[in-house]
Amino acid sequence: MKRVARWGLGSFAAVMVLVTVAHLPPVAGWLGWTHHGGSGTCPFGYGKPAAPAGGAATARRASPGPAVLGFSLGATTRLDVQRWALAHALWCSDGKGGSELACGNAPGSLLGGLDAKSLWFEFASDDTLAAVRAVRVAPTVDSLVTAFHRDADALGGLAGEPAKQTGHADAATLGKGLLSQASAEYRRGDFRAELRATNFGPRGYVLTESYAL
Amino acid sequence: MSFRTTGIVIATLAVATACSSDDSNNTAKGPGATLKCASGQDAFDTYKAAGFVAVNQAIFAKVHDEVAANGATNLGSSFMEAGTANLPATADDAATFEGKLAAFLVFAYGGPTSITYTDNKTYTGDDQDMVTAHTGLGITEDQYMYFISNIVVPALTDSGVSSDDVNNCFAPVVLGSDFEASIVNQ
Repeated sequence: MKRVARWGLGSFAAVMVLVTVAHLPPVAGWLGWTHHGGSGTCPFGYGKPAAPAGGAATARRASPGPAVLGFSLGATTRLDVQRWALAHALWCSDGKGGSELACGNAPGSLLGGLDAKSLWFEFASDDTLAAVRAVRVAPTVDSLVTAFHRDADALGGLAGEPAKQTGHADAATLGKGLLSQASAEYRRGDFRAELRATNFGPRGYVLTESYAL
Repeated sequence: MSFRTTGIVIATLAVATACSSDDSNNTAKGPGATLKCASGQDAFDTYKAAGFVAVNQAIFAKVHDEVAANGATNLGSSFMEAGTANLPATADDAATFEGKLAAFLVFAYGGPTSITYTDNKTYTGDDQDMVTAHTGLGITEDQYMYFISNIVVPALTDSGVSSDDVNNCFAPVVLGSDFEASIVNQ
């Protein structure tokens, strides 16, 4: 009985030491339990998050922002994205300070449209999604044009007419030569979005999308 | 050997050295020198030093805007870590980095081996080792494509480069496999 009690107390003490060490800011940071401001926090929600550095723009929003690529800007959390990636067997890596997440090779069926070679997520100080960007590669100029217009239509519904446009998103313009390009930028309130369709020659036709609050 | 003979040898060597130096400056050309813009000339002769300075400044302004608006995940570490000296590739401060990039672009597109940039300092473009300049940064292929499509092409067109010239006398250099290989996955 004494032996069991000794083992129990010893194990409890060891766990307490580990938990304490893991909550030290440098160790928490090393483990990736960080907020945008770089301070450590407990992954189970017991830590005190860093104060928002950017005022209202980085504070948690009262209502979710626009839904893009299946995520809600200002509402989807880092943990949501990590769970989503895990559920779909996507490989992701942390960026600096724990505020960034980069994921590779997301099938188009998850995002709508073309497969994404890269997805980059930025998180605000409250850990909600502040920006998401995607790099997609289309095999043909026609599929690029289709994808561009599908996204442009969706953004038109969210933000109205483009605030700025360059080039013409048609096969003749984009198929003309290396780095032929068309773009459209949208703004509504603090929401910004940008689509760029670019001819990368033998590498394919690249669509870059950027959505941010 | 008489003084006279020694003097002739020295004079000959001096002339030979000067000539070889001049020759190297005149003949060393970057890969873009063979590409012709709509003007019939290479990119540097078409847009001159002022055009390249404008493009270079536009690149840095767009990087700044991109980082301020959306963060840095998509651009890699080249610009954000300039001057930190965390790696040999990040030893140059931001101003030196900007001047060196300008000199590199000028040389790559048919211009001289060195330029005096807006900070009145002279930077050379023909001696820059792109592999060393990017080693340890871990720039991915997609980050490079994002940089070209969202920073470089808009910087060119905003600075007055026509889309035909982007196609024909700018794109082949930055999309060249050897050039990209010197930057990506280093």
